[in-house]
Amino acid sequence: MDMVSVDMKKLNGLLNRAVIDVITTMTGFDVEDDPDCSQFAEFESVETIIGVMAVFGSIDAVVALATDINSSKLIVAYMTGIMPTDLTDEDVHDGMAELVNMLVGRVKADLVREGLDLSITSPFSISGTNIEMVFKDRENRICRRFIAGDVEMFLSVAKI
Amino acid sequence: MNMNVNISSKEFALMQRYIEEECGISIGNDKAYLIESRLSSMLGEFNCSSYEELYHLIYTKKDRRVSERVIDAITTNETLWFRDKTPWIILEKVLLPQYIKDLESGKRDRIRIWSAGCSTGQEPYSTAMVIHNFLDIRGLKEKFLPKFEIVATDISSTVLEVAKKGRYDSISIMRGMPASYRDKYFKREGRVWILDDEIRNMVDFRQFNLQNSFVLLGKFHIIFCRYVMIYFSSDLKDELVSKFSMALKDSGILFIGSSEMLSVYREYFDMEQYEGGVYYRKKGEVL
Amino acid sequence: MKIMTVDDSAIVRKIIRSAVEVLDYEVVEAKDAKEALDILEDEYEDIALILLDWNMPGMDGFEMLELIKKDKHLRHIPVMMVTSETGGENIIKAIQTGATHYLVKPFTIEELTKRILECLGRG
Ligand SMILES: C[S@@+](CC[C@H](N)C(=O)[O-])C[C@H]1O[C@@H](n2cnc3c(N)ncnc32)[C@H](O)[C@@H]1O
Repeated sequence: MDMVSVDMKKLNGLLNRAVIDVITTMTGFDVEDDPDCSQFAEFESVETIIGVMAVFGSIDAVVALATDINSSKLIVAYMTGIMPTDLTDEDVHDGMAELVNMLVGRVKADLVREGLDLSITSPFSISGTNIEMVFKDRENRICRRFIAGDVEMFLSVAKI
Repeated sequence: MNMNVNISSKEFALMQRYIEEECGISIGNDKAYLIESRLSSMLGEFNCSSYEELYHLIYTKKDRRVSERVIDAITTNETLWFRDKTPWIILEKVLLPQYIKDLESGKRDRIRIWSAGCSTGQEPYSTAMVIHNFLDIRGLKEKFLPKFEIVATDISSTVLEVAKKGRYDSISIMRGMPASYRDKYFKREGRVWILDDEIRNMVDFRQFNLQNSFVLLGKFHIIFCRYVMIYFSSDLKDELVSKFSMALKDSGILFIGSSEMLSVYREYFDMEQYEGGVYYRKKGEVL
Repeated sequence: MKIMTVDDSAIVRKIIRSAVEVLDYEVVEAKDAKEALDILEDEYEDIALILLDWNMPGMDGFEMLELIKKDKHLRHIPVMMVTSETGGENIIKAIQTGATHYLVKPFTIEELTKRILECLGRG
Protein backbone atom coordinates (compact mmCIF):
# COMPACT_ATOMS: atom_id res chain seq x y z
CA MET A 1 0.00 0.00 0.00
CA ASP A 2 1.21 3.52 -0.61
CA MET A 3 1.73 6.36 1.80
CA VAL A 4 -0.71 8.88 0.41
CA SER A 5 -2.65 9.56 3.55
CA VAL A 6 0.16 9.70 6.06
CA ASP A 7 3.37 11.52 5.54
CA MET A 8 6.27 11.48 7.92
CA LYS A 9 5.41 14.92 9.22
CA LYS A 10 1.97 13.88 10.30
CA LEU A 11 3.27 10.66 11.80
CA ASN A 12 5.82 12.73 13.64
CA GLY A 13 3.08 14.86 15.19
CA LEU A 14 1.01 11.87 16.24
CA LEU A 15 4.01 10.13 17.76
CA ASN A 16 4.99 13.21 19.64
CA ARG A 17 1.61 13.53 21.23
CA ALA A 18 1.53 9.82 21.97
CA VAL A 19 4.92 9.82 23.73
CA ILE A 20 3.97 12.76 25.92
CA ASP A 21 0.58 11.26 26.65
CA VAL A 22 1.88 7.79 27.50
CA ILE A 23 4.82 8.90 29.67
CA THR A 24 2.81 11.55 31.53
CA THR A 25 -0.09 9.23 32.18
CA MET A 26 2.01 6.27 33.29
CA THR A 27 4.59 8.12 35.41
CA GLY A 28 3.03 11.46 36.41
CA PHE A 29 6.09 13.24 34.91
CA ASP A 30 5.84 16.52 33.05
CA VAL A 31 7.28 15.69 29.66
CA GLU A 32 8.64 18.17 27.16
CA ASP A 33 9.79 17.47 23.65
CA ASP A 34 12.64 18.75 21.60
CA PRO A 35 13.08 18.07 17.89
CA ASP A 36 16.86 18.19 18.25
CA CYS A 37 18.28 14.74 18.45
CA SER A 38 21.96 15.59 18.12
CA GLN A 39 22.74 14.43 21.65
CA PHE A 40 21.73 10.96 20.66
CA ALA A 41 25.34 10.31 19.61
CA GLU A 42 26.80 11.18 23.03
CA PHE A 43 24.21 9.16 24.70
CA GLU A 44 25.19 6.04 22.82
CA SER A 45 28.31 5.64 24.92
CA VAL A 46 26.43 4.91 28.15
CA GLU A 47 24.40 1.82 28.90
CA THR A 48 21.26 2.16 26.86
CA ILE A 49 17.96 0.36 26.84
CA ILE A 50 15.69 0.43 23.81
CA GLY A 51 12.09 -0.69 23.57
CA VAL A 52 11.27 -1.71 20.01
CA MET A 53 8.19 -2.55 17.99
CA ALA A 54 7.45 -2.90 14.29
CA VAL A 55 4.38 -1.76 12.38
CA PHE A 56 3.23 -3.27 9.09
CA GLY A 57 0.54 -2.46 6.58
CA SER A 58 -0.12 1.01 5.20
CA ILE A 59 3.21 1.95 6.77
CA ASP A 60 6.11 -0.39 7.42
CA ALA A 61 8.24 1.06 10.18
CA VAL A 62 10.26 0.34 13.28
CA VAL A 63 9.53 2.39 16.39
CA ALA A 64 12.23 2.56 19.06
CA LEU A 65 12.20 4.32 22.42
CA ALA A 66 15.72 4.63 23.83
CA THR A 67 16.97 5.86 27.16
CA ASP A 68 19.94 5.42 29.47
CA ILE A 69 19.64 2.77 32.10
CA ASN A 70 19.21 5.19 35.01
CA SER A 71 16.41 7.08 33.31
CA SER A 72 14.68 3.85 32.45
CA LYS A 73 14.84 2.75 36.09
CA LEU A 74 13.25 6.01 37.20
CA ILE A 75 10.52 5.72 34.60
CA VAL A 76 9.68 2.14 35.53
CA ALA A 77 9.84 2.98 39.24
CA TYR A 78 7.21 5.70 38.83
CA MET A 79 5.10 3.39 36.67
CA THR A 80 5.05 0.58 39.20
CA GLY A 81 5.69 2.17 42.59
CA ILE A 82 8.75 -0.06 43.02
CA MET A 83 11.91 1.71 44.24
CA PRO A 84 14.61 1.91 41.51
CA THR A 85 16.96 -0.14 43.69
CA ASP A 86 14.39 -2.92 43.98
CA LEU A 87 13.68 -3.21 40.27
CA THR A 88 15.00 -6.25 38.46
CA ASP A 89 16.55 -6.07 34.97
CA GLU A 90 13.49 -7.91 33.75
CA ASP A 91 11.18 -5.23 35.18
CA VAL A 92 13.09 -2.51 33.37
CA HIS A 93 13.11 -4.37 30.06
CA ASP A 94 9.47 -5.22 30.36
CA GLY A 95 8.60 -1.65 31.31
CA MET A 96 10.33 -0.17 28.28
CA ALA A 97 8.70 -2.71 25.99
CA GLU A 98 5.29 -1.94 27.49
CA LEU A 99 5.75 1.80 27.01
CA VAL A 100 6.47 1.27 23.31
CA ASN A 101 3.47 -1.00 23.13
CA MET A 102 1.18 1.68 24.57
CA LEU A 103 2.75 4.30 22.36
CA VAL A 104 2.22 2.37 19.17
CA GLY A 105 -1.25 1.37 20.32
CA ARG A 106 -2.19 5.05 20.64
CA VAL A 107 -0.80 5.98 17.24
CA LYS A 108 -2.32 2.94 15.62
CA ALA A 109 -5.75 3.95 16.91
CA ASP A 110 -5.33 7.43 15.40
CA LEU A 111 -4.23 6.03 12.05
CA VAL A 112 -6.82 3.28 11.84
CA ARG A 113 -9.46 5.90 12.49
CA GLU A 114 -8.24 7.62 9.34
CA GLY A 115 -8.69 4.47 7.34
CA LEU A 116 -5.21 2.99 7.39
CA ASP A 117 -4.65 -0.67 7.84
CA LEU A 118 -1.98 -1.54 10.38
CA SER A 119 -0.79 -4.53 12.26
CA ILE A 120 1.81 -4.55 14.98
CA THR A 121 4.38 -6.98 16.33
CA SER A 122 4.96 -7.80 19.97
CA PRO A 123 7.23 -5.27 21.66
CA PHE A 124 10.67 -6.25 22.91
CA SER A 125 13.66 -4.46 24.32
CA ILE A 126 17.43 -4.58 23.94
CA SER A 127 20.15 -3.14 26.10
CA GLY A 128 23.89 -2.61 25.99
CA THR A 129 26.55 0.03 25.52
CA ASN A 130 27.51 1.65 22.25
CA ILE A 131 24.41 0.50 20.49
CA GLU A 132 24.14 2.13 17.13
CA MET A 133 20.98 2.20 15.10
CA VAL A 134 21.83 2.36 11.42
CA PHE A 135 19.08 2.83 8.90
CA LYS A 136 19.61 2.93 5.16
CA ASP A 137 16.82 5.33 4.42
CA ARG A 138 17.96 8.48 6.19
CA GLU A 139 15.22 10.61 4.63
CA ASN A 140 12.40 8.72 6.23
CA ARG A 141 13.60 8.71 9.75
CA ILE A 142 12.13 10.60 12.67
CA CYS A 143 14.04 11.31 15.81
CA ARG A 144 12.87 13.31 18.80
CA ARG A 145 14.17 13.93 22.25
CA PHE A 146 11.95 14.04 25.32
CA ILE A 147 12.89 15.30 28.73
CA ALA A 148 11.23 15.09 32.13
CA GLY A 149 13.44 16.39 34.92
CA ASP A 150 16.53 14.19 34.93
CA VAL A 151 14.99 11.71 32.58
CA GLU A 152 15.90 11.82 28.93
CA MET A 153 14.43 9.69 26.15
CA PHE A 154 14.82 9.42 22.40
CA LEU A 155 12.15 8.26 20.05
CA SER A 156 13.28 7.00 16.72
CA VAL A 157 11.06 5.86 13.89
CA ALA A 158 12.39 4.51 10.63
CA LYS A 159 10.54 3.36 7.57
CA ILE A 160 11.61 -0.09 6.48
CA MET B 1 -11.67 -2.25 7.58
CA ASN B 2 -14.93 -1.86 9.39
CA MET B 3 -15.15 1.80 10.37
CA ASN B 4 -18.82 2.31 11.04
CA VAL B 5 -18.68 1.42 14.71
CA ASN B 6 -16.15 4.08 15.62
CA ILE B 7 -17.78 7.28 16.70
CA SER B 8 -18.87 8.85 13.44
CA SER B 9 -18.46 12.58 13.15
CA LYS B 10 -22.21 13.04 13.36
CA GLU B 11 -22.53 11.00 16.53
CA PHE B 12 -19.52 12.68 17.99
CA ALA B 13 -20.90 16.15 17.27
CA LEU B 14 -24.16 15.17 18.95
CA MET B 15 -22.38 13.83 22.00
CA GLN B 16 -20.08 16.84 22.08
CA ARG B 17 -23.09 19.12 22.27
CA TYR B 18 -24.74 17.06 24.99
CA ILE B 19 -21.56 17.05 27.04
CA GLU B 20 -21.11 20.78 26.67
CA GLU B 21 -24.73 21.71 27.39
CA GLU B 22 -25.61 19.23 30.11
CA CYS B 23 -22.23 18.51 31.65
CA GLY B 24 -20.50 21.86 31.06
CA ILE B 25 -17.48 20.11 29.59
CA SER B 26 -15.75 20.99 26.33
CA ILE B 27 -14.33 18.08 24.40
CA GLY B 28 -11.85 18.60 21.59
CA ASN B 29 -12.24 16.69 18.34
CA ASP B 30 -9.10 14.71 19.09
CA LYS B 31 -10.70 13.16 22.15
CA ALA B 32 -13.17 10.87 20.38
CA TYR B 33 -11.07 7.83 21.19
CA LEU B 34 -11.19 8.66 24.90
CA ILE B 35 -14.94 9.06 24.94
CA GLU B 36 -15.39 5.68 23.32
CA SER B 37 -13.62 3.76 26.04
CA ARG B 38 -14.75 5.90 28.95
CA LEU B 39 -18.39 5.47 28.05
CA SER B 40 -17.96 1.74 27.50
CA SER B 41 -19.60 0.66 30.75
CA MET B 42 -22.63 2.82 30.06
CA LEU B 43 -23.13 1.02 26.74
CA GLY B 44 -23.55 -2.24 28.59
CA GLU B 45 -25.57 -0.83 31.41
CA PHE B 46 -28.11 0.87 29.15
CA ASN B 47 -28.08 -2.10 26.83
CA CYS B 48 -27.03 -0.17 23.75
CA SER B 49 -25.40 -1.83 20.78
CA SER B 50 -23.94 1.35 19.34
CA TYR B 51 -22.76 4.74 20.49
CA GLU B 52 -25.51 6.31 18.46
CA GLU B 53 -28.12 4.48 20.50
CA LEU B 54 -26.47 5.53 23.75
CA TYR B 55 -26.24 9.14 22.61
CA HIS B 56 -29.89 9.29 21.68
CA LEU B 57 -30.86 7.68 24.94
CA ILE B 58 -28.97 10.08 27.16
CA TYR B 59 -29.68 13.03 24.92
CA THR B 60 -33.41 12.62 25.17
CA LYS B 61 -33.32 11.74 28.87
CA LYS B 62 -31.96 15.10 30.06
CA ASP B 63 -31.64 13.60 33.50
CA ARG B 64 -29.18 15.05 36.03
CA ARG B 65 -28.27 11.60 37.27
CA VAL B 66 -27.36 10.52 33.78
CA SER B 67 -25.34 13.63 33.04
CA GLU B 68 -23.46 13.16 36.31
CA ARG B 69 -22.66 9.61 35.27
CA VAL B 70 -21.32 10.97 31.98
CA ILE B 71 -19.18 13.58 33.76
CA ASP B 72 -17.83 10.91 36.10
CA ALA B 73 -17.10 8.64 33.15
CA ILE B 74 -15.27 11.13 30.97
CA THR B 75 -13.27 13.32 33.37
CA THR B 76 -9.84 12.25 34.52
CA ASN B 77 -9.10 11.89 38.20
CA GLU B 78 -5.38 12.29 37.88
CA THR B 79 -3.89 13.88 40.98
CA LEU B 80 -0.65 14.30 42.90
CA TRP B 81 0.35 15.06 46.46
CA PHE B 82 1.29 18.73 46.94
CA ARG B 83 0.63 19.33 43.24
CA ASP B 84 2.56 22.41 42.01
CA LYS B 85 4.02 22.83 45.54
CA THR B 86 3.35 26.61 45.68
CA PRO B 87 -0.19 26.52 47.15
CA TRP B 88 1.17 24.72 50.20
CA ILE B 89 4.10 27.08 50.54
CA ILE B 90 1.64 29.98 50.43
CA LEU B 91 -0.58 28.22 52.97
CA GLU B 92 2.34 27.66 55.32
CA LYS B 93 4.17 30.95 54.91
CA VAL B 94 1.42 33.46 54.20
CA LEU B 95 -1.99 32.22 55.24
CA LEU B 96 -1.49 30.08 58.34
CA PRO B 97 0.55 32.68 60.28
CA GLN B 98 -2.26 35.19 59.67
CA TYR B 99 -5.03 32.73 60.55
CA ILE B 100 -3.30 31.76 63.80
CA LYS B 101 -2.94 35.41 64.74
CA ASP B 102 -6.62 35.98 63.98
CA LEU B 103 -7.68 32.89 65.91
CA GLU B 104 -5.58 34.02 68.87
CA SER B 105 -6.97 37.52 68.86
CA GLY B 106 -10.51 36.22 68.46
CA LYS B 107 -10.94 37.96 65.12
CA ARG B 108 -11.89 34.58 63.63
CA ASP B 109 -13.27 31.58 65.46
CA ARG B 110 -12.56 28.88 62.89
CA ILE B 111 -11.01 28.39 59.47
CA ARG B 112 -12.95 26.65 56.73
CA ILE B 113 -11.24 25.20 53.65
CA TRP B 114 -12.84 23.59 50.60
CA SER B 115 -11.15 21.25 48.15
CA ALA B 116 -13.53 21.31 45.18
CA GLY B 117 -12.86 18.39 42.83
CA CYS B 118 -10.65 16.51 45.28
CA SER B 119 -10.40 13.22 43.39
CA THR B 120 -8.80 10.49 45.53
CA GLY B 121 -7.93 12.88 48.36
CA GLN B 122 -4.36 13.96 47.69
CA GLU B 123 -5.26 17.67 47.67
CA PRO B 124 -7.28 17.88 50.92
CA TYR B 125 -4.90 15.51 52.72
CA SER B 126 -1.87 17.53 51.59
CA THR B 127 -3.62 20.55 53.06
CA ALA B 128 -4.43 18.71 56.27
CA MET B 129 -0.83 17.52 56.68
CA VAL B 130 0.57 21.04 56.22
CA ILE B 131 -1.83 22.46 58.81
CA HIS B 132 -1.23 19.61 61.24
CA ASN B 133 2.53 19.87 60.88
CA PHE B 134 2.49 23.67 61.18
CA LEU B 135 0.57 23.51 64.45
CA ASP B 136 2.40 20.46 65.75
CA ILE B 137 5.91 21.91 65.53
CA ARG B 138 4.76 25.10 67.24
CA GLY B 139 3.00 23.25 70.03
CA LEU B 140 -0.35 24.72 68.96
CA LYS B 141 -2.01 21.51 67.89
CA GLU B 142 -4.25 20.90 70.88
CA LYS B 143 -5.43 24.45 70.90
CA PHE B 144 -6.04 25.12 67.23
CA LEU B 145 -6.37 21.88 65.26
CA PRO B 146 -10.12 21.62 66.03
CA LYS B 147 -10.55 25.13 64.62
CA PHE B 148 -9.73 23.94 61.11
CA GLU B 149 -12.43 22.37 58.98
CA ILE B 150 -11.64 20.87 55.58
CA VAL B 151 -14.50 19.97 53.27
CA ALA B 152 -13.56 17.95 50.17
CA THR B 153 -16.00 17.29 47.36
CA ASP B 154 -16.09 15.51 44.04
CA ILE B 155 -18.77 14.46 41.61
CA SER B 156 -17.48 10.89 41.60
CA SER B 157 -18.60 8.80 44.55
CA THR B 158 -16.06 6.16 43.53
CA VAL B 159 -13.01 8.41 43.98
CA LEU B 160 -14.49 9.62 47.26
CA GLU B 161 -14.68 6.04 48.46
CA VAL B 162 -10.94 5.72 47.82
CA ALA B 163 -10.24 9.08 49.45
CA LYS B 164 -12.16 8.28 52.63
CA LYS B 165 -10.20 5.08 53.19
CA GLY B 166 -6.89 6.95 53.35
CA ARG B 167 -5.09 3.91 51.94
CA TYR B 168 -2.73 4.50 49.04
CA ASP B 169 -0.79 2.27 46.67
CA SER B 170 2.93 2.77 46.30
CA ILE B 171 2.52 4.29 42.82
CA SER B 172 0.33 7.11 44.16
CA ILE B 173 2.60 7.62 47.15
CA MET B 174 5.61 8.20 44.91
CA ARG B 175 3.87 11.06 43.12
CA GLY B 176 4.74 14.31 44.82
CA MET B 177 4.97 13.10 48.42
CA PRO B 178 8.07 14.36 50.29
CA ALA B 179 9.71 11.67 52.42
CA SER B 180 9.34 13.83 55.54
CA TYR B 181 5.54 13.93 55.32
CA ARG B 182 5.34 10.31 54.24
CA ASP B 183 7.37 9.16 57.22
CA LYS B 184 5.47 11.32 59.66
CA TYR B 185 1.93 10.60 58.54
CA PHE B 186 1.86 7.18 56.87
CA LYS B 187 2.28 3.67 58.13
CA ARG B 188 3.38 1.05 55.66
CA GLU B 189 1.77 -2.37 55.41
CA GLY B 190 3.45 -4.33 52.64
CA ARG B 191 2.95 -2.19 49.56
CA VAL B 192 0.02 -0.25 50.99
CA TRP B 193 0.46 3.10 52.74
CA ILE B 194 -2.04 3.96 55.46
CA LEU B 195 -2.71 7.56 56.40
CA ASP B 196 -2.72 8.56 60.06
CA ASP B 197 -6.25 8.74 61.48
CA GLU B 198 -5.62 12.19 62.89
CA ILE B 199 -5.14 13.53 59.34
CA ARG B 200 -7.95 11.43 57.91
CA ASN B 201 -10.38 12.79 60.48
CA MET B 202 -9.56 16.37 59.56
CA VAL B 203 -11.28 16.01 56.18
CA ASP B 204 -14.99 15.72 55.55
CA PHE B 205 -15.69 14.14 52.13
CA ARG B 206 -18.96 14.75 50.31
CA GLN B 207 -20.34 14.04 46.88
CA PHE B 208 -21.09 17.32 45.15
CA ASN B 209 -21.59 18.54 41.59
CA LEU B 210 -20.06 21.96 41.00
CA GLN B 211 -22.95 22.79 38.68
CA ASN B 212 -25.20 22.93 41.75
CA SER B 213 -25.71 25.85 44.12
CA PHE B 214 -23.00 26.36 46.75
CA VAL B 215 -25.29 27.97 49.28
CA LEU B 216 -25.64 24.97 51.57
CA LEU B 217 -21.89 24.54 51.85
CA GLY B 218 -21.47 27.77 53.79
CA LYS B 219 -18.59 30.22 53.44
CA PHE B 220 -14.90 29.41 53.26
CA HIS B 221 -11.57 31.08 53.92
CA ILE B 222 -9.80 29.08 51.23
CA ILE B 223 -11.08 27.25 48.16
CA PHE B 224 -8.91 24.91 46.13
CA CYS B 225 -10.34 24.20 42.69
CA ARG B 226 -7.40 22.89 40.77
CA TYR B 227 -7.26 21.09 37.45
CA VAL B 228 -11.02 20.78 37.50
CA MET B 229 -12.13 23.76 35.42
CA ILE B 230 -9.65 22.86 32.64
CA TYR B 231 -12.34 20.67 31.12
CA PHE B 232 -15.18 23.10 31.57
CA SER B 233 -16.88 25.18 28.91
CA SER B 234 -16.11 28.89 29.20
CA ASP B 235 -19.68 29.56 30.32
CA LEU B 236 -19.44 27.17 33.23
CA LYS B 237 -15.96 28.43 34.11
CA ASP B 238 -17.14 32.05 34.28
CA GLU B 239 -20.15 31.03 36.33
CA LEU B 240 -17.95 29.12 38.76
CA VAL B 241 -15.57 32.02 39.32
CA SER B 242 -18.45 34.16 40.45
CA LYS B 243 -19.92 31.35 42.56
CA PHE B 244 -16.55 30.76 44.22
CA SER B 245 -16.24 34.42 45.09
CA MET B 246 -19.66 34.31 46.73
CA ALA B 247 -18.70 31.19 48.68
CA LEU B 248 -15.61 32.91 50.07
CA LYS B 249 -15.42 35.06 53.16
CA ASP B 250 -14.05 38.57 52.75
CA SER B 251 -10.49 38.45 51.38
CA GLY B 252 -10.81 34.67 51.08
CA ILE B 253 -8.39 32.82 48.84
CA LEU B 254 -8.91 30.82 45.65
CA PHE B 255 -6.24 28.46 44.33
CA ILE B 256 -6.38 27.12 40.79
CA GLY B 257 -3.85 24.94 38.96
CA SER B 258 -0.58 26.64 38.05
CA SER B 259 -1.11 26.06 34.35
CA GLU B 260 -4.69 27.31 34.45
CA MET B 261 -5.88 30.81 33.62
CA LEU B 262 -8.99 32.68 34.58
CA SER B 263 -10.31 35.00 31.90
CA VAL B 264 -12.74 37.03 33.94
CA TYR B 265 -11.69 37.28 37.55
CA ARG B 266 -10.92 40.99 38.01
CA GLU B 267 -14.46 41.78 39.00
CA TYR B 268 -14.18 39.40 41.95
CA PHE B 269 -10.53 38.76 42.72
CA ASP B 270 -7.10 40.34 42.94
CA MET B 271 -4.26 38.20 41.73
CA GLU B 272 -1.40 37.91 44.22
CA GLN B 273 1.94 36.17 44.01
CA TYR B 274 4.31 34.59 46.46
CA GLU B 275 7.52 32.77 45.61
CA GLY B 276 6.44 32.18 42.03
CA GLY B 277 3.01 30.88 43.02
CA VAL B 278 -0.22 32.64 42.09
CA TYR B 279 -3.38 32.89 44.16
CA TYR B 280 -6.57 34.92 43.98
CA ARG B 281 -7.82 37.03 46.86
CA LYS B 282 -11.47 37.97 47.00
CA LYS B 283 -11.95 41.71 46.60
CA GLY B 284 -13.26 43.59 49.61
CA GLU B 285 -16.80 44.87 49.64
CA VAL B 286 -17.10 48.05 47.66
CA LEU B 287 -19.47 50.40 49.39
CA MET C 1 -11.91 -12.54 47.41
CA LYS C 2 -9.42 -12.29 44.58
CA ILE C 3 -8.96 -10.26 41.45
CA MET C 4 -7.25 -11.84 38.46
CA THR C 5 -5.03 -10.01 35.99
CA VAL C 6 -4.30 -11.69 32.67
CA ASP C 7 -1.57 -9.84 30.79
CA ASP C 8 1.65 -10.90 29.10
CA SER C 9 3.41 -7.84 30.48
CA ALA C 10 4.80 -8.38 33.98
CA ILE C 11 4.88 -4.61 34.46
CA VAL C 12 1.19 -4.21 33.77
CA ARG C 13 0.48 -7.06 36.19
CA LYS C 14 2.54 -5.27 38.84
CA ILE C 15 0.69 -1.98 38.32
CA ILE C 16 -2.62 -3.77 38.62
CA ARG C 17 -1.36 -5.57 41.73
CA SER C 18 -0.63 -2.19 43.31
CA ALA C 19 -4.13 -0.91 42.71
CA VAL C 20 -5.83 -4.12 43.79
CA GLU C 21 -3.94 -4.59 47.06
CA VAL C 22 -5.06 -1.19 48.31
CA LEU C 23 -8.65 -2.30 47.87
CA ASP C 24 -7.97 -5.29 50.11
CA TYR C 25 -8.30 -7.94 47.45
CA GLU C 26 -5.79 -10.66 46.76
CA VAL C 27 -4.22 -10.71 43.30
CA VAL C 28 -3.95 -13.70 41.02
CA GLU C 29 -1.65 -13.22 38.04
CA ALA C 30 -1.68 -15.07 34.74
CA LYS C 31 0.61 -14.30 31.82
CA ASP C 32 -1.65 -15.75 29.17
CA ALA C 33 -5.15 -17.10 28.61
CA LYS C 34 -4.14 -20.72 29.08
CA GLU C 35 -2.63 -20.11 32.50
CA ALA C 36 -5.66 -18.02 33.42
CA LEU C 37 -8.15 -20.70 32.43
CA ASP C 38 -6.21 -23.32 34.39
CA ILE C 39 -6.36 -21.17 37.50
CA LEU C 40 -10.02 -20.36 36.97
CA GLU C 41 -10.88 -24.04 36.82
CA ASP C 42 -9.87 -24.43 40.47
CA GLU C 43 -10.46 -20.98 41.86
CA TYR C 44 -13.42 -19.55 39.98
CA GLU C 45 -15.49 -19.26 43.13
CA ASP C 46 -12.98 -16.86 44.69
CA ILE C 47 -12.54 -14.56 41.71
CA ALA C 48 -14.46 -11.29 41.99
CA LEU C 49 -13.17 -9.69 38.78
CA ILE C 50 -10.94 -10.48 35.81
CA LEU C 51 -8.79 -7.78 34.17
CA LEU C 52 -8.02 -8.98 30.69
CA ASP C 53 -5.55 -7.82 28.05
CA TRP C 54 -6.53 -8.16 24.40
CA ASN C 55 -3.22 -8.75 22.66
CA MET C 56 -1.51 -11.77 24.14
CA PRO C 57 0.50 -14.57 22.62
CA GLY C 58 -1.61 -17.69 22.12
CA MET C 59 -5.31 -17.25 22.71
CA ASP C 60 -6.12 -13.54 22.67
CA GLY C 61 -8.14 -11.70 25.30
CA PHE C 62 -11.24 -11.48 23.19
CA GLU C 63 -11.36 -15.23 22.63
CA MET C 64 -10.89 -15.75 26.34
CA LEU C 65 -13.73 -13.32 27.05
CA GLU C 66 -15.98 -15.36 24.76
CA LEU C 67 -15.03 -18.56 26.59
CA ILE C 68 -15.70 -17.02 29.98
CA LYS C 69 -19.08 -15.69 28.99
CA LYS C 70 -20.10 -19.08 27.55
CA ASP C 71 -19.08 -21.03 30.64
CA LYS C 72 -21.82 -21.49 33.20
CA HIS C 73 -19.38 -21.32 36.15
CA LEU C 74 -17.48 -18.31 34.90
CA ARG C 75 -19.93 -16.11 33.12
CA HIS C 76 -21.12 -14.24 36.21
CA ILE C 77 -17.57 -12.97 36.88
CA PRO C 78 -17.25 -9.37 35.69
CA VAL C 79 -14.51 -8.83 33.13
CA MET C 80 -12.77 -5.54 32.43
CA MET C 81 -10.71 -5.36 29.26
CA VAL C 82 -7.44 -3.53 30.04
CA THR C 83 -5.73 -3.09 26.74
CA SER C 84 -3.92 -0.80 24.34
CA GLU C 85 -6.25 -2.08 21.61
CA THR C 86 -8.51 0.94 21.08
CA GLY C 87 -11.24 1.68 18.58
CA GLY C 88 -15.01 1.70 18.94
CA GLU C 89 -15.28 -1.51 16.97
CA ASN C 90 -13.35 -3.51 19.56
CA ILE C 91 -15.09 -1.81 22.44
CA ILE C 92 -18.56 -2.59 21.12
CA LYS C 93 -17.51 -6.17 20.40
CA ALA C 94 -16.20 -6.63 23.93
CA ILE C 95 -19.19 -5.03 25.65
CA GLN C 96 -21.65 -7.02 23.56
CA THR C 97 -19.80 -10.19 24.42
CA GLY C 98 -20.27 -9.36 28.10
CA ALA C 99 -17.33 -7.25 29.26
CA THR C 100 -18.31 -4.77 31.98
CA HIS C 101 -15.73 -2.12 31.20
CA TYR C 102 -13.08 -1.31 28.65
CA LEU C 103 -10.00 0.51 29.95
CA VAL C 104 -7.49 1.72 27.40
CA LYS C 105 -3.76 1.76 28.16
CA PRO C 106 -2.18 4.10 29.06
CA PHE C 107 -4.27 4.77 32.16
CA THR C 108 -3.54 6.68 35.35
CA ILE C 109 -3.48 4.76 38.60
CA GLU C 110 -6.53 6.78 39.74
CA GLU C 111 -8.50 5.73 36.70
CA LEU C 112 -7.52 2.08 37.10
CA THR C 113 -8.63 2.07 40.73
CA LYS C 114 -11.88 3.83 39.94
CA ARG C 115 -12.79 1.44 37.13
CA ILE C 116 -12.01 -1.60 39.28
CA LEU C 117 -14.35 -0.32 41.98
CA GLU C 118 -17.04 0.36 39.40
CA CYS C 119 -16.81 -3.19 38.07
CA LEU C 120 -16.97 -4.66 41.56
CA GLY C 121 -20.00 -2.57 42.41
CA ARG C 122 -21.98 -4.02 39.59
CA GLY C 123 -20.43 -7.50 39.72
C1 LIG D 1 -7.95 16.09 37.43
S1 LIG D 1 -8.80 15.89 38.93
C2 LIG D 1 -7.98 17.09 39.95
C3 LIG D 1 -7.82 16.65 41.38
C4 LIG D 1 -7.15 17.64 42.31
N1 LIG D 1 -7.92 18.85 42.46
C5 LIG D 1 -5.75 17.98 41.85
O1 LIG D 1 -5.52 19.11 41.43
O2 LIG D 1 -4.89 17.12 41.89
C6 LIG D 1 -10.37 16.63 38.58
C7 LIG D 1 -11.53 16.16 39.48
O3 LIG D 1 -12.66 17.01 39.28
C8 LIG D 1 -13.84 16.24 39.38
N2 LIG D 1 -14.95 16.91 38.66
C9 LIG D 1 -15.10 17.07 37.34
N3 LIG D 1 -16.25 17.70 37.06
C10 LIG D 1 -16.87 17.95 38.24
C11 LIG D 1 -18.10 18.56 38.61
N4 LIG D 1 -18.96 19.06 37.69
N5 LIG D 1 -18.40 18.64 39.93
C12 LIG D 1 -17.55 18.14 40.85
N6 LIG D 1 -16.38 17.55 40.56
C13 LIG D 1 -16.04 17.44 39.27
C14 LIG D 1 -13.45 14.90 38.75
O4 LIG D 1 -14.29 13.86 39.21
C15 LIG D 1 -11.98 14.75 39.19
O5 LIG D 1 -11.86 13.94 40.32
